[in-house]
Amino acid sequence: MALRSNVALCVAIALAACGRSSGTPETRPLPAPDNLPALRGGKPMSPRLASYRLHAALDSANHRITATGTIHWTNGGQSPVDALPFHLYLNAFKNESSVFMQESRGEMRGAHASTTHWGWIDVTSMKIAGAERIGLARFPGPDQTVLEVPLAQPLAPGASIDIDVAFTSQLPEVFARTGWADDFHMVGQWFPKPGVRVGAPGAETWACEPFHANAEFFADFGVYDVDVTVPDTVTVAATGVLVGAKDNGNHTRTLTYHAEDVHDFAWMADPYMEVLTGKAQVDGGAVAVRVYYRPDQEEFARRHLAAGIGAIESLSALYVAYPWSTMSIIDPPPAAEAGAGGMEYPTLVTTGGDSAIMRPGIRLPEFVTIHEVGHNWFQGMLASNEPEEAWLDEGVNQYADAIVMARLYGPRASLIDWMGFAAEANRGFAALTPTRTVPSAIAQASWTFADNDAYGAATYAKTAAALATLEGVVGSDAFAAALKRYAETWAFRHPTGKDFFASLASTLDQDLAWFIGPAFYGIGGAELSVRSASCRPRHEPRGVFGDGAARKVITSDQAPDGDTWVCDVLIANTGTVPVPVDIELRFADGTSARERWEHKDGGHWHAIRIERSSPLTEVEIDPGDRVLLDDDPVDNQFRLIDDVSASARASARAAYWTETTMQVMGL
Amino acid sequence: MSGREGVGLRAMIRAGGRVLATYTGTVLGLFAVQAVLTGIVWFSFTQVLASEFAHRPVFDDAVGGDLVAIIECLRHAPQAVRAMLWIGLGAVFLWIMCSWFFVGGIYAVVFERPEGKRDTARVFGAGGAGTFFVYLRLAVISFALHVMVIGVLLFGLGAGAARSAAAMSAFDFVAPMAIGLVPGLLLLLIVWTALDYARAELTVRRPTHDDLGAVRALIRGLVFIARRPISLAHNALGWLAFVLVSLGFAWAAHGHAMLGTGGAVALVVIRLGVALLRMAIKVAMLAGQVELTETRPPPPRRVIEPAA
Repeated sequence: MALRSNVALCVAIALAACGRSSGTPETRPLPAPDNLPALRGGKPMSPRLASYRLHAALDSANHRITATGTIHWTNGGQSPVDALPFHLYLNAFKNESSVFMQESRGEMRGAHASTTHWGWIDVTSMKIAGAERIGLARFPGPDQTVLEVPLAQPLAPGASIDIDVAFTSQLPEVFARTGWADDFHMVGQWFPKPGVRVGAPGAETWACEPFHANAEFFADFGVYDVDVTVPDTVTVAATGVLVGAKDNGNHTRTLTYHAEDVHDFAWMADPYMEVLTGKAQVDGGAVAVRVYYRPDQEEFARRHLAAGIGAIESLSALYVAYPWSTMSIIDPPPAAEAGAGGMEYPTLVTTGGDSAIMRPGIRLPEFVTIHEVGHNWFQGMLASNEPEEAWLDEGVNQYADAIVMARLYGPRASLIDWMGFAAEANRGFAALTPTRTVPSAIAQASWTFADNDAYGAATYAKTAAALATLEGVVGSDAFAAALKRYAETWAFRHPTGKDFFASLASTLDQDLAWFIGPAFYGIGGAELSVRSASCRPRHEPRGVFGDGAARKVITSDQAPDGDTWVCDVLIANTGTVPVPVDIELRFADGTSARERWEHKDGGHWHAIRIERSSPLTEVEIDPGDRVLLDDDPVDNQFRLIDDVSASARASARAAYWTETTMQVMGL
Repeated sequence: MSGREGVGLRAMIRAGGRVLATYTGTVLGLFAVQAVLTGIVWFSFTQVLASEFAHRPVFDDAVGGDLVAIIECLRHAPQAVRAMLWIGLGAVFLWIMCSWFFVGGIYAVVFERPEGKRDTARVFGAGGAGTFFVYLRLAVISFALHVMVIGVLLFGLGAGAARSAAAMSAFDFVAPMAIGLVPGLLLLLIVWTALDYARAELTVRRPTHDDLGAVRALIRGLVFIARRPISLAHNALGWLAFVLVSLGFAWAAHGHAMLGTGGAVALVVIRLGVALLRMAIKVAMLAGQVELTETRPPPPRRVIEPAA
């Protein structure tokens, strides 16, 4: 009987534990509107070329969305347009023939595409001025991720057009940022989006690439008014502010969201999510920050909330103030994290990194949140062409993230501060970047990389390392001011890499081509090293001097060693990127001296001769660790007299573990 | 029925204490051998690391806990890591072989109870030498059993890891993997206990049953532990003590940097103490095994009929 009671108790505990996130969904209270403006400042900040009025209904059982609506598009260029290309991103998951599936082989960031639950979007109607045009539409590319609709007559520059659309979006089992996992629905890239006109005025072309595996998204800014009809059991988070909520009486409800000066709209529906709220203080006002999480992840939700608030406040201070009223951070359940976690949309991001091994002090979860929130600046506001120049949002953002991490958690151990181990974010990511990837230039289109590893190494870590290195060259304050100026100048526009470099050069009032060329458009990095260092006592020249009768031999007795030391140091940079560096020389009497090697002239080595009253003991290139583009910084330091104490200490630890193994396996 | 058949756990543990008290010098001697081998390993590791890093100050940061410096140093000199790995594996393999001799010697000493240093040394040496090759055969035969154990351990760990991947707390992370490891660890305990009792019997019965081979001893060992589960309990207790001592050291050392010469000396002394304690536990386990083995009925003798 006692055994039976214990078994029953265990079953009850197990069911209770499971029930926290997978019990029968219950009706949720109807959410109250936010009563917040979409934009805190009120005034439009972008040209608003692509605006949407959409009505979407989620069939949660079939993971399908049916929608109708109107897209209001304006020709912002100076040349007429005779056809509109639309991104149909979900068709990337329609079959194995899509460009995305061919390039990714059905794998992305640890997630695998389902081979049974495909995703697709079917545009059933597209009316312009009341005339149905869908019959004339065609897929101009290699797959069905871009749909081109011819216009009845060219649209003049500055003119606008309304396109009435009806479409059905089938979400895939969660993969590559969108889809469903059990009851969790992450709805991204779910509606037709016109491409963007780019190029010189009067000679614009469409930027509307097929959906590539390494690429993300590119769209014009606009105003979004979206009705979302969902079961009354789910919690919804979406881009923008909630302006209306209506109970439909059939166990569904319709929530209306409004967003301004954004270039995308994503939403999440889940029956088990809870919400943690906080406020970020920006420019004397407040931004409502919300973390959506399942109860099991509450501990991490608190960490994400603190990181999100810190990121908004820091990035607002560093660059431009966060202009919107809300920020929603979605912490996907573990089953959906690989597919849906770590993605950015305007005012809504998904985070990740929740895991038992991410103990407090191991700040990968915080980093993911800061990175995704940071994208609201680097792509959300500074809306660069992600497929063409991914480094401009991912890499610049990662560089900025490290600064935010240092501000929030201290400079030395911003990424890891746990059990005596410490790591700073930028150095940590530079060290963790795989070294065996195919060497690639940073500034290249995302689909031209050899593979995802090469794309990731160049786009994220190498870009951040290059920017940190440049910061070290020009000085932190000047570089921060230049980045701020870039952000202020290009916010709510579509900056290119050239715009970025031109802005930096202009603000810094420096020609940076010597660095930008090899670092961003070339392959490789800096390869600094101390090649040799030695000292000898100074003495007058010895040897044979003069000829014939005047020949004289000067011996060590006649030219004894003096009280000073002559030290020679040879350093080299055998990499492809020239970098001016400081060289710190430390002497036995505790003094030190600094030399600078400007290294902009193409030479690959630099010799230093210095005379001091004390011998040289140590040489360090780049004592501030600013040259993160150096793949092997270990040989940037050189000690003239060997010191084995650290080796002995590490060996003692390793020997202890060897002895433990010996005792387990033997006596 | 011998009076010793009633040997219980307490008697086995007491036997361990008695042997440690009586043959303290022998245990210290064995520990000295192990300490010398560990010292050679430490010296070799130091030479390898110093050859790469003695003039690279960044290694000081790595040893001080700078994770980035650790990664940078590992990437800078992967050959040093490989060299240390092979040195370590070599030392472990060498110690395993030495252990066959030492364990045979200890079993013989515990069984024969010699008095005086000279007699003890004679019995120890004869016991170790007399059973070395049959222990070697036993180790080769047990290879298949160890492969099976590793398979079960990996399977259990994999099954547990699949659940741990979604864990949000340390307990939820560790528990599935720990539970997954239980079948493999139990199997390992059975295999190691059977091997211990096979070795013990090979030593104890050597004077009267020189035809007792490794396969027969192993099978008899498996049958014996099935009949006398107390043997498993005793070994499990010994290993538990071994693990607790190790964890206790890890717990006590955590958070104490032990910097400087004084700190380094303290660390070495503490580690030596831990190793000595663990060796004492293992010797006590061997003594308990002999105590129980003495209650076992001897294997039947082969009777050779005289030619008619």
